Order: sequence, then C-alpha cells, then structure tokens
Amino acid sequence: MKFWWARRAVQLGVLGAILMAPVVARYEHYMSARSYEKMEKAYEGRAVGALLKGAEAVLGAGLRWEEGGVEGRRPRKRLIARARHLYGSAWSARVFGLSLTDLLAGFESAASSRGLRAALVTGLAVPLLATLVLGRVYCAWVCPMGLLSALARQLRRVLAFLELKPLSVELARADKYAVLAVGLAAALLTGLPLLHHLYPPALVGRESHALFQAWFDHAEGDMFAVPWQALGAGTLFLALLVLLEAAVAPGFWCRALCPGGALYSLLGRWRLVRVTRVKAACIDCVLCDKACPMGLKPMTDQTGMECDNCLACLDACPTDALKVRVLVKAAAPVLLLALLAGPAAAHHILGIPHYAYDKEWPQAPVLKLVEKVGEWEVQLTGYPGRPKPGVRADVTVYAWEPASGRVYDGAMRLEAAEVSALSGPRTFFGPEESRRNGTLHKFTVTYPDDGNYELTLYLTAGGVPSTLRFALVVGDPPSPWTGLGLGAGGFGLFLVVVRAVRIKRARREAHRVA
Amino acid sequence: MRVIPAPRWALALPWATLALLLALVGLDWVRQGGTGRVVRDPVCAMEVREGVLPTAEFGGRRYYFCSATCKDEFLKAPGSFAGAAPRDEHLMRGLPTWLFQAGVAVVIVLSFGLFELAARRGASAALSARFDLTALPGVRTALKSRALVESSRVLMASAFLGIVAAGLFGDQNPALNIAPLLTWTVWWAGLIFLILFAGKAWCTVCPWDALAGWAAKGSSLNLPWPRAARNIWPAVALFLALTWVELGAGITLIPRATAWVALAMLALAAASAFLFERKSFCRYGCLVGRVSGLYAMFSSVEARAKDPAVCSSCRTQDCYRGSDQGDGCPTFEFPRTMTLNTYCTLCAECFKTCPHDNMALNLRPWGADLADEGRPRSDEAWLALVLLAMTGFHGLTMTPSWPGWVAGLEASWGIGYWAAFSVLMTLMLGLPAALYAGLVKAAQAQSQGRPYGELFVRYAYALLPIALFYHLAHNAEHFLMEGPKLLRLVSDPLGWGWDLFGTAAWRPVPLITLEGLWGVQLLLVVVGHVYSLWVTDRAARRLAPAGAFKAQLPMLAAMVAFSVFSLWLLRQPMSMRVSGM
Repeated sequence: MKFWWARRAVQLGVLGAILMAPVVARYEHYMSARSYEKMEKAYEGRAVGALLKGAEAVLGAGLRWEEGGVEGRRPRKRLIARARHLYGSAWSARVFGLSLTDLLAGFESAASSRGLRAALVTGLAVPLLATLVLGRVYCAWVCPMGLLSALARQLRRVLAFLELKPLSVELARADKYAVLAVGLAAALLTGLPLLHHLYPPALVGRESHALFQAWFDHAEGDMFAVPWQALGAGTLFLALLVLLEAAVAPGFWCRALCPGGALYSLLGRWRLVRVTRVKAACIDCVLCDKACPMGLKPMTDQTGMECDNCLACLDACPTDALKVRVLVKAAAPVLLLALLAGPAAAHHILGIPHYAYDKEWPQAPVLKLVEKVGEWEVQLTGYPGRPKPGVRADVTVYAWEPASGRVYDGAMRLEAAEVSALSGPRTFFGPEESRRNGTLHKFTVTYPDDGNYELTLYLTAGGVPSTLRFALVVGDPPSPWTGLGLGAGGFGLFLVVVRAVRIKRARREAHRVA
Repeated sequence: MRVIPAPRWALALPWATLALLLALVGLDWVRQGGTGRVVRDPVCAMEVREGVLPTAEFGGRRYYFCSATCKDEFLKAPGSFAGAAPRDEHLMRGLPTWLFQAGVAVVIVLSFGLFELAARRGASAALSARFDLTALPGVRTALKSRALVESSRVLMASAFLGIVAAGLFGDQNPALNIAPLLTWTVWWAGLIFLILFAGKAWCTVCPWDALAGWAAKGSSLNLPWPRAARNIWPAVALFLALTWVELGAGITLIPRATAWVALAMLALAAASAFLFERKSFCRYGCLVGRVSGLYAMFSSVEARAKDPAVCSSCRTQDCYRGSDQGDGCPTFEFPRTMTLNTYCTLCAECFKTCPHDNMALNLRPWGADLADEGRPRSDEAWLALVLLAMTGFHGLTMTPSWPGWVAGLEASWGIGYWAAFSVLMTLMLGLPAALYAGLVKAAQAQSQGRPYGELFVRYAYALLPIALFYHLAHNAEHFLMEGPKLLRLVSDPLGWGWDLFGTAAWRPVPLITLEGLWGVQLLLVVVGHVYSLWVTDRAARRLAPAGAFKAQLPMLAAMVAFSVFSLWLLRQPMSMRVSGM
C-alpha cells in the first residue's frame, strides 16, 4: 500500500494547491492594495474570512511577525512575496518561480495561434522532460481526475451494495488519439481551442477560480452565501464523468477518451522509467491485472505506452515480481533536452481588476420598473438595483402623463413588505409619505434580510385612488428549485435504499428455501 | 334475524338541516337581488352585492355597506371614508350584540330547560334507523367497480399536482395564485362540510394516498407499523405542528409555503407507503385522516356488514385478508367487528372482496357512533380536546386584537415573535383542557366511584359536535364570502395573466350577505350545541345511571362555556384573508 499512500498524498496536495490558488491570489491582492486589515474585519466570522486566514497561516508559516522593525506587525512584503509563489491552475501555473504549462495547453495554444512563444516553451520544459523520462506519470500522480476516478470506483461499490448493478462498458483505447487529433486539427484550422473544455485538470482549475472569485466578489458586496451559481458547465461535465465512470464504464475517461492522456501517452512512449516484471518470481496470480486502474495487464507485460507508472501493480504483487527499472542507456538524449529548460518568466496571472476597495465594487446596477395607471405612467427607480440587507437603499418615484406631459403633483405613499416562504408578507416600512424633491418622490428603505420584497405605492392619479405593486429582490434569496432538487434527491436515495433492502431480503429468502 | 322497526325521521334530520342552510342562503340571495354588481363597503372594505343593502349618499355618490353598523360609522364622519385609499384586507364584522345575546339565551335555555325535558323521554329507537344505499339499483355495481374510484383519484391527483406547481412557481401574491384559496378556504372548509353528509369521502379520493400508493405499489417493504406508535399521537402531533406553522407563519397567505406543506405531507405519505404495510400512515399518521375520522363518527353515512350471521359463518375473511378481487382492509379494520367510522376510509375494498355481498353503505342519523358506548381511547379523546381548542384558536388569531396580544407579550417578556406565539398557543390549548379537566373532576363526585380517567376519556367525545359545528360556522365565512373568487382563479391559476375559461376578469359576488351569514353561523352553533348536549346526556346515563342529571351538570356547564366562547368568537370582527383583492 505504500505507493497508494504516496500517490494519494501527492494528488491531494496538488488539488489543495489548485483550490488554494484563487484564495492566495485574493489574499495577495488585498495585501497589495493595503486593505487586508479592513477586509479581515468585514469578513469576521464568515467563511471567506476563514479562507483568507487559512491562506495567511500557510503563507506565514515560520515567518516572524515583524515589519520595518516593528514587532508584532504583519510582515506584509514577505507575505506578498510568498503569495506570489503560487499562481494559476493546473492548466498553467507558476510555482516557486517555475513556469509550468500543461502539455495539452501548450500544444493547443501553439496550434491555435500557429506559433511558439518563448514563454510557452519555458513553461513546457519541465512537464515535457518529466513525461519523456517518467511517461504518463502526470495522469496517475498529478491530475485531479485520478481522485475523481478513485471516487467513482468507490461509488461503484456503493451502487453494487444498493443493488444498482453498474455496467462495465469497454471503450477502445485508441479513441483518445482520435479526440486529440480532431481537437488539435480544429485548433490549427479554426484557431479555436476546444480541448480545454473537456480536459478535467483545466476544468477543476477554472471552476475553482470561478467559484472563489464570485464568492469574494459577493462578499465584497456584503452577500455571504456561497455563490454556487458561479459553477458552470465544467462542474456538470466532471460530475457526469464521475457518474458515467461509476454507473457505466469504469475508468473510461482516462483509458479511452482523454485528449491529454493521449498526448502524454504518445510522449511517454519511450520513457526511461518503467515497470518491469521478473518472470521467475511471477506466479500468474492476476492480482496486478485486477489492480491496474488503467485496465492494463502487467502480468503479461501488456502495458505499452498507456502505463502511467501509478505503481498500483507493485502494491498488489504478492511476490515482488514487479519492479521499477530505469533505462540508463536511453537517458542521454533526454538529458540533452533538459538543458533547454531554463528559469521561466511570468506569463500569466488569472487576474482581478485592481480597483480600490474603498469604492463600491462591483458596481451596483439600478433597478427601474414602469407601471401604467390609466393615462399615467409611474416609474419606480431603485438604487442600488439589488439592495443589500441592512443598508439604506433609495427608492425614487416619478409619475407623469405622457400624452400631455403633465407631471404628477399629488401625494404619494409607499409601503414595503417582505414576502418569504415561511414568515408571511410582513410590512416593515410605511405606508410613509414621500419626500418631495422637485418632481421626484423619494423614499429611503432599509431591508431587513435577503429575500423577496414587495413595494406598494399608493397614489391618486386622475382622481382615482390606485395601488401599485412592485416586486424587488434583496440580497441572495433561495429559489424553490433548490429545495425541490434536494427533496427529490433525498427521496430518490430513500427509494434506492428501500429497493436494495427488498432485493437483499428476497435473496436471503431464496437462499433459505434452497 | 328479526328486523326492529325504527322510525325513519332521524334519517331525515341531516338533510333537513342541509335544506334549511340552503334555504337560508337562497332566501338571502333572493332578498338581496341576486347577482348585483360588486361594490365595496368604504368602512370595512368588504365586497358586497349592490342590492337592497344599507346605502347612503355623500357628495353626489352612493355608498353601499355590509351592514347597518358600517353605515352608522360612515354617517358619523363620511368625509374621512369617502376619499380614503382602498385597502387590501377587510375587517368582517361579527354577530351584532342582539344576535349574540339571543344565541347565548338559546344555548342556555336548551341546555338546562327544554332539552333536559325532551331527553328524558328518550329517542334511542330512532338511532338504529338505517337505510341501505346498496339497495338502490347500480350503487353496489359502482362500489364494486374499480373504474369509478380510480378515475376520481386520477382527477384529484392531477389537481393536487397542479396546485403544488401553482404554489411553487406561480405569482406569490395570494390574491393572484389559486393555491392558498383552494387549499385553505375551499378544500379545508369543504372537507369538514363533506364529512357531515358523505363521511370520509375525502380519504377515498385523497391525492396524497393515491400518489403514494401508486408509487409504492408492489415495491413496499411492508414492515409492520412500530408497536409503540400504534395510536394516533403521531397525527395529533402533526395537527399541532401544522396549526403552529399555519397560524404562526401565516402560510395561508403564502402560495409557496402552501405548496411546501402539501409536498411535505406527500413525502410523509410516500415514505410511509414504501416502508409500512397497507395504509398504515392513513390509520396512524395522517392528521387529515384522523381529524376527519373523529368528525366522521358524527357523519350520516357508514359502511358496515349487513348481516352478522353471514359474517360469523364466513371462513375466508377476505375483507380483512384480501383476495384477487381486492385488497384486505387498508386501515386494518375488520368489517365483521367494525362498529365505528373512525378508521374507515370508505375505500370500498370490502365491497369488492366480500364473496357474500354482505357489505352495506348505510344512511344513518347524525351522531350514531357518538351515542353508543364505542371504544374510547385516550389519544382520540385528546385529539377531540385539541380540535376544540385549535378551532377556537384559529378564530382568535383572526381577530384584530390578536397582533396586539402577541406584540404585548413580546414586549413584556422580552421574547421574540415565535416564542410569544408559541406561549399563546400553548395557553389556548391548555385553558380549555384545564377547564374541561376541572369539570370532569366535579362530575366524578357524582359518578359513584367511576375512575377519573374513564370519565375524562368518555365525556371528551361529547365535545366533538361543538368543535365540528364551530369549525363549520367559522369556515362558512371563508367559504361563502371568499370561495366564489375561485371562479376567477381557475382561469389564471398561476397569476401569469392567462384566461383559460374566460373568467379571469370576473368579480364574483359573495354567495351570501353578511346578515345571511350571521343566521347561518348561529344555526350551526346551535345545532352543534344540541348534539353535544345529547351525547353528554347519553354518556352520563351510562356512567352514572343513578344520578345522571347531577352527574352531567358540570359537563353541561362545560358545553355552555364552549358554545358561548364560539359565539363570542363569531361576534368578534375578523381580518379576512384576501377578500379585498
């Protein structure tokens, strides 16, 4: 099991780094803008605050809390310097000054731009070298899909336990080369990079950046709910892969479809580090074949270029017949290539606009609603358009008769009520007379919570008393689909358990009779 | 077997009451000029029919009033009402003082005078009167066919899903969404009314059970319902929880919450259907089934075995075990020994399974199950008390002084809204229970050493008619005044501006005027009171044959107290739900 532990540790470390990168970026950003202390106070007791504190704890490990000779002050410059040691994502990153670009990213951007840039080449150097020497090792030890596949394998066991027999469809391994060829050809011909839409490590990085950026952006607007809506097609695609691997075809993505896997396989064709079998020690027990996550057959040496050196077969072998061998003779040309790799320069930052954090940012849009009462047109303007709970918001009403151009000059009253699923429409404001400002009627409302609100306007236009209603959303109210989805999902799970119990009970019954 | 001739007049009483009610509504309709235009009372904001109602001229305009009270108020300061902005909620005036006093007088006279004399002569023979509906041509065939019940269940289930969809995704303004009105005004009032004349017909077509049953058909675990929970405490708890959420959160005005409550019930029913055998949930867990089950003891319809001799010679007992003709009783009743309506859902499976066609659908006098000894249980007794207390509580929360009480308690104890509401609800549950417990203690002194627990449980059933008829009197208000708005909402159930049947722009008139409604409410309370007295009397005669009159005096006091409280509640003005919109 020693290789299993090592592999999981490396994979989890990489995943942690991918997830932490956007937090570290935001931390560095606040530090550079000298606003970290302010944000720390604003985020007190919130998950975003805890994330930033976590990032600081990691970055500040071993640092003395002193700056400019003042004891106890946060060592800002050194923290920023350390934060800059982790940039980017699995698609392309800079770690401790070293540029790292995924080989598929490199090949695809080279194809779509029809050219090679120096920065790209330097970023590719280390991964390329590693692949040439170690083969498809990225797939087994680095790519987050390795963890997802493992998760899918565990799910298969759960499904089997729940009596939902998973299928075992086998796809041809060669398919992935076709995917790679088509993708690269498309990039070359149309200039459109497509493959990163189907490449798990790129997706994990992109979704993590999207989620954390939206999370922090919302938090800057005083909305602290997790913005799950920021997750998009990438998460769906990954979830679909896990579901398909669990229910239909185990490991199919890495084995048969992944374009990155295809590329790494091709480049790892002449790898120097290989798993080899000592024939004399082998007892033909097939345990290694069963253990291989890629579905290869180490027992009969049928590994070829697909092997990703995960070393699961070594863990499985009861007689230590499988060994890792380094082919020294073939090393020379590869080492030559290694000289090409030099220190890399920064070439990318998944950046955030560098606004001052003292301003309202992101800018709040304005809400404008128009209603007709007979010949009269009533315009209600809300600022901010999506107000925050607990913060004073303006409501301005302007009423006029478009036909005659006459402006309404009667009295106007406004009432505001919260409309929520379990506490009734509760009026918390008014009805209150407007403050007049020329032809405008102004109200100032402070909404108590996130939720749906209704503004009721009373006015007497054209001699007729009228009541107008305007719907308004404050903060981030939940939607009925969330509850419906959770409820249906929970009930579905309950049904599966009931079914499993029935099947097991019937089997036991049949067993007893027989 | 010798058939005892029983006077048939008792069978006619329910229908006579129904005819009287309809006559009241019809007379009122004619008197007020039928389908007039809808106008709005400027004082209480109620919608009224333009007819011979009280009217007044002011500033060259004619104003219409729900009652003389509103007119008087208007005439004191016409200017302040004439120009006021319209309101959405209207305050319905309660019984006028003279009517309230007359009602109290009638209740007291009936309790201690007339009725006591009448009861002494006894009318037990009338109670055994039955009319077997299956003797009519076609009735047994209809009950034995699956098509009738199944098709009505399909209809109800699709209506149910439509309402849930409307509640979740329709406009959240309760005046534009069909879900709140149909659920809380039409269904809940109609359900209780239906029990009087058709027993638990709702359970027969219940969409919760239908959907759950279809889903779980053939794939249930068929576990036995836990022995410790084989009582109706789960249903009592659910009923209290629903009342708490319904009145505390005001979900009757929130379409989405209405839909969530409906879905939660569906989840409970479906989970039970997948886990437990037959319809365990209907028998032990369902609050609607248990509330209507207790009320159904009063109902004028029953399903019973026809001839006990046929049953005692029966060896197959298909009605309980089931056969290829149908299921065994889904609520674990055995028709051979079934003497009460409480747990029978009128699903008519026993009509299908009985190989001897020995099942009968009887018309019977009201209160037939309550008059006999029955099988009193403490959980049922408590549900009867809870029903009485909670229907009163329901009315109390709609009075205009209620928000003041909650706010006062919040301020004086320094607690939040939910805590204050819960305290008041507990109080409202505890007070009638304490009063009842005390009076039972007084009755025990006169009951020749009967145990307290037995008296407590037995007399509780006598509270059911008062609870049932106050329930009806209260809901008559919702049903007759607000119910017609359904005509408009069926054309645009989600509030999305549809006009499916061309009725979206209608402004339907209330079915009755305020004065007519008062008459209906008074009639209902008095009828309920009379039946409670009668049940009390019979119980007292059984429990204390020697001194029945003295023994029932404390109980009479309880009945009078509860009926006068009902009348007092009806006298209060009520904030109505969506009437003004």
